[in-house]
Amino acid sequence: MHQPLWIHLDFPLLALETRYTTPNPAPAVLLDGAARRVELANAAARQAGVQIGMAVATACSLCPELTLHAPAPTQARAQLECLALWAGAFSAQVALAPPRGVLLEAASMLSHFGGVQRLCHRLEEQLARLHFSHTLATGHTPLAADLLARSGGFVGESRDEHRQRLGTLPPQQLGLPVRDSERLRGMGIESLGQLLALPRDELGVRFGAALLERLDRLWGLRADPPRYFQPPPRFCQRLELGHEVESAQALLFPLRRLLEALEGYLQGRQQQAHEIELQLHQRESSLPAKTIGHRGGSSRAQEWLELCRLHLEQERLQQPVIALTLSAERFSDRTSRSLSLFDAPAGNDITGGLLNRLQSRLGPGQVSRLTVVADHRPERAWSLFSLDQEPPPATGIPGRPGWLLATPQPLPPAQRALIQLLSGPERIVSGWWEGPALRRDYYAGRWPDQRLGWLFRDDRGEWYLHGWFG
Amino acid sequence: MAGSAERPMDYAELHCLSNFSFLRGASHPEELVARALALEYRALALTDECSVAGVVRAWEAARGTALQLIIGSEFRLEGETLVLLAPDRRAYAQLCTLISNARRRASKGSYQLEWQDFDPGSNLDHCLLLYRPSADLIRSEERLAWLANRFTGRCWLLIERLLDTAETGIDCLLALAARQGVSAVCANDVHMHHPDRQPLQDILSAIRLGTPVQQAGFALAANAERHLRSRNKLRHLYPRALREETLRIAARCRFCLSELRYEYPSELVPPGMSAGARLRALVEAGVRRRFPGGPEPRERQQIEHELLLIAQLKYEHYFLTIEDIVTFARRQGIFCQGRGSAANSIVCYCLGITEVDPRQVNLLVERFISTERNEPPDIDVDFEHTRREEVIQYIYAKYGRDRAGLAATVISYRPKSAIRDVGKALGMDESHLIWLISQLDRRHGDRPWLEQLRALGGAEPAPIHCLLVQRVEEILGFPRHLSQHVGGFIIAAGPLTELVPVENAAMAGRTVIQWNKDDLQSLGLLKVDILALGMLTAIRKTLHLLGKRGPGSIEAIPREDAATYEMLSRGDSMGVFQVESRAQMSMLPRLRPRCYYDLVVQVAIVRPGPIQGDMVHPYLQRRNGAEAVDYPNDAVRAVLEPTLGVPIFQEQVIRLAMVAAGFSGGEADRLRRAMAAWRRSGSIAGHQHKLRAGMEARGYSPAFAERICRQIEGFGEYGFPESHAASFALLVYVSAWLKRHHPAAFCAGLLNSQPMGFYAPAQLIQDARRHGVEVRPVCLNASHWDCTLEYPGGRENGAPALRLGLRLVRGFSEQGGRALVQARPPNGFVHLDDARHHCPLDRGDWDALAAAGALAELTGHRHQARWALLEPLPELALGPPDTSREPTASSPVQLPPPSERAELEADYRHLGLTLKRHPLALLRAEGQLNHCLQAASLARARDGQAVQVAGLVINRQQPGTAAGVTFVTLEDESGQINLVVWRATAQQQRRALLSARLLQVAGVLQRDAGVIHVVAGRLTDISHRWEQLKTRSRDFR
Repeated sequence: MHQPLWIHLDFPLLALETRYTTPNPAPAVLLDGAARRVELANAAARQAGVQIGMAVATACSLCPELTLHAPAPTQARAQLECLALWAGAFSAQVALAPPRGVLLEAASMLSHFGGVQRLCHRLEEQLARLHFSHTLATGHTPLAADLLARSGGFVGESRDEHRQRLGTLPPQQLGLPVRDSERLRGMGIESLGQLLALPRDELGVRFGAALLERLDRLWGLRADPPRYFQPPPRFCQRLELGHEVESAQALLFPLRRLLEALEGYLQGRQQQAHEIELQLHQRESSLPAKTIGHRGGSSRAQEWLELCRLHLEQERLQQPVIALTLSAERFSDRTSRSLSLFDAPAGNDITGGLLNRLQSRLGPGQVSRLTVVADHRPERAWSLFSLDQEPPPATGIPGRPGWLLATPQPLPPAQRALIQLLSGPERIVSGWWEGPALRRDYYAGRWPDQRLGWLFRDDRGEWYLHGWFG
Repeated sequence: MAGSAERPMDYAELHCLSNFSFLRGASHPEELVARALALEYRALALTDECSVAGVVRAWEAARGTALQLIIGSEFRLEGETLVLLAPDRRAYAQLCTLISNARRRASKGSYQLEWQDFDPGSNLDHCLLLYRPSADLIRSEERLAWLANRFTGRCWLLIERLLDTAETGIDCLLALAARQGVSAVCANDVHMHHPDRQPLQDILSAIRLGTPVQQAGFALAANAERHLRSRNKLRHLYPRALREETLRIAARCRFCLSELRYEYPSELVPPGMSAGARLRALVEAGVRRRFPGGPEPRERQQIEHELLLIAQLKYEHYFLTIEDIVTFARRQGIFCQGRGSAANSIVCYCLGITEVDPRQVNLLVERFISTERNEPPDIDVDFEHTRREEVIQYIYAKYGRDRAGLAATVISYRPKSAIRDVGKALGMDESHLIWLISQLDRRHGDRPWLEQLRALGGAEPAPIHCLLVQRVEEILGFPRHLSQHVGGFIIAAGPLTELVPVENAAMAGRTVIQWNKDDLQSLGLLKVDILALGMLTAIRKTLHLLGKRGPGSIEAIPREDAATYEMLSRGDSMGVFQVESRAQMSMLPRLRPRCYYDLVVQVAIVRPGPIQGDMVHPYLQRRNGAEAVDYPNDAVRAVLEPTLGVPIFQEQVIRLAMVAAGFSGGEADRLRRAMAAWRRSGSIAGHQHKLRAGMEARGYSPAFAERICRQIEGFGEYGFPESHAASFALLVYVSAWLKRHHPAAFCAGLLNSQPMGFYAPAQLIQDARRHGVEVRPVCLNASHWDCTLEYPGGRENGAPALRLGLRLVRGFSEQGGRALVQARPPNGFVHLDDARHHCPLDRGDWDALAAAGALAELTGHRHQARWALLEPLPELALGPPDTSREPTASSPVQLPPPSERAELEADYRHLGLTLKRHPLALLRAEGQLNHCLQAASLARARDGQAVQVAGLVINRQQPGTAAGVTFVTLEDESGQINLVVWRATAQQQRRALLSARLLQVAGVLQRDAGVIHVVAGRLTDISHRWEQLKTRSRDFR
């Protein structure tokens, strides 16, 4: 019968380090929600004197080359889940300790890994490949492992070793409400050991049952069962990149983290993947997913990374990539592929069915949706959206011809003279934020053959045809 | 085309918004007026949305030109747009009332209008109405009919051709108007003076909507047509009849803002008496009070001269109003005194509005009022800062909320807000914008920040960066919203809303008028400034504490006390009004004030203006006899002799211009005004030329003329009026006298008036102790809420001790404090449980007291006290508590006492100060500061000696004038150390300079006329030494 043992992994700079797209030693900070103060600072920034809570302006004047990152809580949460999946290689029971921790049940894995020292050593080795700042600690209760990780890390085996170490922690490192730890400090209580020496009922009367309960959970006098993380049946993780990435090669660094998570997931299920799908997302649309196969199947991140690299070498990116999605569900020899492009149940939805067949016939990415966009400039007033994207709503569309020429066609003066102007001018002056502004006077006109067209005169006085009504 | 050779017809633009329609209009009122003039319009109506906040500026710009300015306002209601114009004074009053009603119904910054507001009986029967139809023609026709019914003969259909898709054909609209029997008129929904402003107008829309321009879509205007169009263009857009109608409407509008006259409240004059007689009576009463032996002939002459001026200009009521306010304050025991140019007036002195004795300074009443100044006098009165609200409430109560209102302040775009808002509107990343802002150094005069911003884009800036810089430059100075002015009141005879609209301020229950101080001044409307001054509170509290043992009142304080001047000359001025800053303190030993006038000079001279204008050095040289004083002639001597030939005060410049260059009083005052604004405009060049010419014509040497001109340039915005310096110098003297003769009471007065002044309580207390004051700690049994004086050995003996008050305990409520004092028995509590039973304090309050060490008398050390107090009280048994029980024996827990270091930390954390050993003394005793000299020993060091010092960083200052130098003040157990950190040093050791709390410095001592600095060489952050200090614990009981 094993003594209970837990391992807590603390990632103190997770919210900042997920924003990196390269392993980045340059000074960087994460700003708080209001973007006024420093929330997190990496080692290089701290070296330059930047401190948590410092005003941004002070930090920038201390360290002019500082990179500022805005917080992205959903991305941080997604990354934490990836880490939980990755940890699946080391324990069958993993729990999330948001916002920056992962808890592993270790007692049952000790024999597999050959003891706690070896297990921790393996963990450290693997963690190094992820490039996240981390501290690791064991504990005889989940809370013990948590506090020991946050106070510098510790590896021990027995309950007594852990209790001894815990006894030295000062009140501010016990995770208590600030007012309580402040009061304890103000009474000269400088360690947990001193705190526990005080009579229990007196403590309870002064600090409430919540404190006692916490101490009990910490010390191991009260059960504290964690809520375990359930890995999903198929692997699908999306990673938002901190910056736009312009070259396919530069995608390998963030991709590696996804593959490590996949590896952990697979290890936890004792399976191998034969095929993965990698999708690159750009701002306006997404490239079609690449399917990458592995003939013999593998769970190793390194092998998959190599295959991805070969595929990405061929890739020429027209536009920068802002996110990646990695999915895998072929862990056995099933060959069917599900095209789950819509939420609507197939069959009742005629449009859905048609679109489905068009997509299968023509291939993914060949079928898109045409929508109107709110912009005064006619060239910009429409756009193509892929089927699984939600186009933004646009209202207040002015009267426009049904057909718009791809590029306006010049009208020689002789021709222009034959056209009878019916309405206008409608003057459009817009788009100065993207270079020289568009300046045109539009008219509706009737051609000699009775066709109704849409023409304009630009600011040099030249006439162009831009569209047809009807 | 026929007629193209003729001049196009005259035109009046009747629908125009300025940037006072916040985040809609893209041009300043002055720009609109200038452009309308350039386009040769006959008239321009300024019709901001539910506002007349911009009309005064437009009026000033249009004054004396050929352009007629019409006042009006635009309103939007249920998607429809209405423009109201004011053809006469009555209409203007009605318009203002409508605006006020609409604004008062809604929260700050918005308005709410109902169709009922246009019903008959709602009092708009003088206004003209222009109605712009919406796209729904049927509803528009109904609405037009409805309005035409109510505004018979005063209603028009407004047609605007903006060349966008929403345009309805003119013929259709003309037919509509004809059917309703209403004339049509044209206008252009003007939002800017020139189409080049369209990008900025788009940015304003984006800011208003909170989206970037790239995503604003149809919310942006489709084109740039909403500008003041040329008459030629208008000819092609609108039929002649419509344009002629604009002129017909303009001709009906005869109202001009200059018709607004100040109408005085009449309460102040008793029936049967004239205002002048009343004023005379009050002045004579004041004369008897101020000049007990009767005034000198010179003074009597001055009084008569002023009263005559006042009568000529009809300002009697103004003086009566202020005299009434000041008298009220005095009756309530609120200390007050006038400041600024008003102190030039002997009448104000007699009325008790100001305290500057005309026998001691050189009054120049023309600086205050004159027949040539076409504007009313400006009287600012300082009141005790904690009681100013009582005065404000008195004004509201006496005159009513509908007749008294606060002036507005216009909050406009400054560099930081401009970059942030424009950047966000351009879709730029917020952290990048923050970075840009942090890189700007706005104190470097040689590289204006706009240039720096441009340079931050790099050698090949991204287009979006260029757009950012351009738009930021344009938007600077644009108004964003109106806010409440600090204390500028306008008081009217009748309802204020007939003069100017009133709207809600952010503070509940406060309203604000739509004009600011400058607008009021331009229009000649009188206002009173009710200001707050912390030192007045401190002085009153000090006198109150002293009671009969002190002078009793400011008037009773002996003047020209040598001991006081001696103290000031040593630079011993912490806590003294105006002269306690570092710059002032280091000037005192050089200037060595010996009399009141020296203080007047001191207050005026230690400021950026005189320093830049090269006045300080010559003055000092002459004062010390190092330089000879000479005057070109007697006229100049008369003006400059009090300041040894160096012009220091604004009044001297005015007088010099009059005496030496032949300027008249009015011209000289214009020069003074130009001086104030010379950085912004170029108008001073003309004056300088005239000055030089005048002086040369009167035979002064070119060198002299040149010197005077340069000194005048240095005045810029910072030159002080002598009267203002004199008002302040009085308070300098009074506070210095109190510090010198009653240091304990003075310190208590300052502590009880916090926040105010330059120094924190910790420094004030240390200074008091160094002057021999015994300071006693906060104590449950002895302290009151305020700091008090305790006379040891009975009330007969000399110097009192200062007992710190409960207000210094952080986290302790005032309510708790007063309850404690009330419940406390005369000899104090003996047992803690007693105290807990009798005082209704909550746990937080008790903990705060224990943490601050206020229970030391009852409970032993802090740790034990805090432990004991967190225990809830046992249920109150019937009968008195059992006092035979030992205190704190209820718990068997014995906690260890705090170490000295922990005690000091707890003192700072919970009181902000300590009465025990200074942290530096502790560090020194533990051998952590070898080779460091104490602050007090620096006096014995040589000039140029290499020294090492250490201390707590209590102040860091980077004044703009000092070329990147940072001044740091350190504090140790013996006093303060002034550090000078040159720019190069600061840049290399940025980290230590910016973040250390405890600093050790190796540097070079500099001494000059008794002022000691250490020029910093090497800065070391030694904060960690405090953390690591392990001392033996001592039991502090």
